Amino acid sequence: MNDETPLLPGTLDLLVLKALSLQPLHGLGVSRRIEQITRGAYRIGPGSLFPALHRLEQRGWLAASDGESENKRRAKYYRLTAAGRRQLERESKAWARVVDVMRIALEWS
Amino acid sequence: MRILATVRGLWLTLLRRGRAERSLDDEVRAYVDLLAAEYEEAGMAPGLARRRALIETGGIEQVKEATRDAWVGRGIFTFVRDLRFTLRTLRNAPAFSVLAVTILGIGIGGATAIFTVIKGSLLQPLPAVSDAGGLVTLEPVKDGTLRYGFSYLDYRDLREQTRSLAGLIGYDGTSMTLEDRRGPRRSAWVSYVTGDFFSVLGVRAAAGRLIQPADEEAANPVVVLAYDLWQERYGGDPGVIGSTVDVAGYPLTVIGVAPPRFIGAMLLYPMELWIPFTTVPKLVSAPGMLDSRSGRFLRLVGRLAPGTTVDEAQQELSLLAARLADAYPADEGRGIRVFPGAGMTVEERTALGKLPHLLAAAVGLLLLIACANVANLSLVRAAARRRELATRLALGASRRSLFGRLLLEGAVLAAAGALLGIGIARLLVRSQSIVRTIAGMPERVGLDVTLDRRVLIVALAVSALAALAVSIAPVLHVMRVPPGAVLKDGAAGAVRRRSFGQRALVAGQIAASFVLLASAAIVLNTFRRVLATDPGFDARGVAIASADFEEAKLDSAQVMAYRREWLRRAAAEPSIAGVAMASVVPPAPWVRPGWVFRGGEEPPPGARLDGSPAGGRRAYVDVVSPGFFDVMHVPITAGRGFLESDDNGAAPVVIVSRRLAAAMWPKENPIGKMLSLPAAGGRRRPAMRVIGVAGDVRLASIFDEAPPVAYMPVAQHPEEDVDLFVVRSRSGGGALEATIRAIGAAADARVPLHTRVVTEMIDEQLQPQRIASAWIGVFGAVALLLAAIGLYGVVAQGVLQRTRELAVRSALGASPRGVISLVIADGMRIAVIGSVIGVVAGAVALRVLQSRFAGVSVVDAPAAVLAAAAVCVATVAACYLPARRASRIDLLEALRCD
Repeated sequence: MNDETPLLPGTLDLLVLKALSLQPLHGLGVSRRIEQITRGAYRIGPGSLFPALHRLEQRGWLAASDGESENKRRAKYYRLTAAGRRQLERESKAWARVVDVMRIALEWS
Repeated sequence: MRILATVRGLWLTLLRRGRAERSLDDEVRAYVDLLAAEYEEAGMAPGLARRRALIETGGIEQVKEATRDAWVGRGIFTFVRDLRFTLRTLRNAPAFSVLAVTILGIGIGGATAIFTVIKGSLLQPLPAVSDAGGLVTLEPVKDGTLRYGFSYLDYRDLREQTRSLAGLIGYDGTSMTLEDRRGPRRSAWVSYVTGDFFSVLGVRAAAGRLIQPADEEAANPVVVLAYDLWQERYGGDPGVIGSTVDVAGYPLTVIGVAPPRFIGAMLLYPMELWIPFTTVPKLVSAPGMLDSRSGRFLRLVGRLAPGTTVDEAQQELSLLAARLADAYPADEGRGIRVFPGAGMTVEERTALGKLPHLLAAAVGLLLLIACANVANLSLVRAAARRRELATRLALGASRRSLFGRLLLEGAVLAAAGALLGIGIARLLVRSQSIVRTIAGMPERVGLDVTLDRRVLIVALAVSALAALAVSIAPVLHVMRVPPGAVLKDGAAGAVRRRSFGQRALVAGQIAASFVLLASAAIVLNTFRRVLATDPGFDARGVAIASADFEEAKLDSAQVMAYRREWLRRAAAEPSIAGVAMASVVPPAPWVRPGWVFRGGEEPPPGARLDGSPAGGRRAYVDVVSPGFFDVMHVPITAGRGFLESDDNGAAPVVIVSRRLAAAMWPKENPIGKMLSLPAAGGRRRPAMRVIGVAGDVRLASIFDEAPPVAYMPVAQHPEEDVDLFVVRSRSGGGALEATIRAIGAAADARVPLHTRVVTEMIDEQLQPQRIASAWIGVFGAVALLLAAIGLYGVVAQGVLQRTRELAVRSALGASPRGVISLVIADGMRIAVIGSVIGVVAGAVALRVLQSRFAGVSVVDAPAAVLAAAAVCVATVAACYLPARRASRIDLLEALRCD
């Protein structure tokens, strides 16, 4: 995790959903994808990643199945469920609104 | 979907735990492997890559634990784990756990049983009565104080005039003899009731029909049987309806059976027979009682008219009472008070309330001791666990989680205690005789003794309190002390400061058990004193035989012959010192007094004997044969006893007891005076000349002062029912009853004989009090045991804390004896303080006892000494073990062990 960009509460779940929106990934894959889409601003360690994955899975937003990695290591792959996709849309819109509101608020002079 | 996922999650985490764990492990390990593979691809050596991956992951177990926290049902799982841990902890301290649970169980069980009994006896509505909530009790008052009973005429007026009551019934009850062909003659509770009694109470017959208003005037007097009586005596035979039974020697026709559980309208006196009140004057030979405003023999119960409140009824009845008071001189100054509910008079309710409350106080004290004790035990344990708890704190357990654990421990103990307590309570309550003893209730009182919700809530509240008591002590202990200090100090050093609270707790416990013990001793002493007082006769070696002439169908000439033959044979028996006949032999609590008058002052034949007739006094009547006074060892203090020559041909004579003589002719010589007793049926009987004065005898109850008694010679009163033979054995002993039966068989085998030993009859009377005092004694003993355990804990802990000091003392030359007495003195100090508090509290308890038990003396030194001795012994016993341990402390061991 980058020192300069704090991870706001709730953002981790959104990032995980977003990371999984293109294709199913295993744990490390999710971490790498988040690094990629945030341009390296966030590196999620396993101590935060796995609790988030399990939480989202138990809420029914993610589904898990066994798969094989590029280098033939068996691993648990997560993918977005239909409910997860809807949740991602909802969260994205909500987030966009927050961002708009905050920017306007902070740019007020 | 979401719910489904949650359920699935729960299912996985709770029931498929192994699989979930394996899957989690695989997943985290895969993460490490994949990360290592990345580094290898980037050109790192495999070993180095792996190490780097592991470091970056930051500990597989930590990751797994963090992930588990995200699982649904994690709370449940944690709880189960904590519970398991707690059970393990408690199993590791079995003595503590068993003791704490037992103490709580006894406390909660006892308290619950008492609450149940109080509720069952005091809060219960009349059984088998429909809508008992709509009933009100009318109590007469005169000049502001409660009185007893209404006259029939007042009742009739009230019933006709009231609008606030939909129904008004009058009744009362008494004990009378019941005789029929179906079982032995015995006394039965008979209630005389107004004709609308059953209809107003809303009771339907189980068989036949119940008393109706028309029965009041019917020529053929009727009787209704209680269901229990019907079952027991008549085997539930419907054929009994229409047959005749004799009540007080008066034939009544059975018309029906009351429903099961119905006991009438007097909770304390479950009735067995109901008769129309119009029959009563014939039964008790008081023909005028229905025509007088001052013959107050009815209790009144009303049913509120629909929509009427108790207050409205009170207003209206006050008005009606005022009208009666204006109209009739006998009712002057009298009023009516209306109370909600029926079943007991206010007076009865108050009297009954006393004993359960006394015992409830005892149980409450016990409960308090139990809680204090468990708290104390856990304090002792907390001291022993200080190191463990401090270690856990030092290893990073939060104080909050530690507190949770300890609270859970308390809750587990309390729950076990509550379970045991409920078990004990059920056991106590199920045994009706114990309940009756606790409540001090007469036989056959219909008790509703099912444990109910209210009672359980009380028990649970108590156990919750106990849970707090158990857990708070060690928590406070731990919270106060920084873990470092504890760990450094070790087991023996620790906080020097002696726990004041703990000592106060133990002193309080000792005080409480002192009070209970002293109370038990006082009741016991009082009881022994009652036994030691001279009842006026000597029961040892005396037996009675009651002959059932009715059953044998003997006519009066045959009865006379039988009596003569019996007496002759008994007198000839060498093992028998004396024999006599009597209509009453003490103790006879069922006997009722009659009216006696000075000669010439008796009312004219057929006059009313209600209220208090001028010159009349209540006295017991005993019709006896000449030998009676000798056989019972009742002294003739003036004049002479009866002689064989005092028979039908001679002038009628009577012997009075000293008390009766003093009441009738104070400061005069009673010998030669005339005494008159109206005979049954109001017939005139010639006045009798007093020829002697007999010593006072506790004829009815062994507890009560001797009542006035008039003795009449059996030979002059063939009309009286004299069916008791009194026999005194020469040896004081054993085969007396067999001898009596042999005499009876020889005299006339057709006559059934029931023999009783008089000392046994006295024992029977003493039984309730004996058991009650035994109970208080048991409470006291249990309390003392609990207090001793508490004391043991405190002293043992004190020894543990002072190990070094005591070891140094020994090393410097203190003898083992010296060390032992040092420790015992420490315990004694607490015990003495406790006892002093106990004496003060005991003074208060004494006041309560005095109000309940007759003859309790103000200062009962032996009782106090007894209690103090018990406390002393318990203290020494509790201190001895730790003291001995203290005397054997090895100095090197003590100093090295830290």
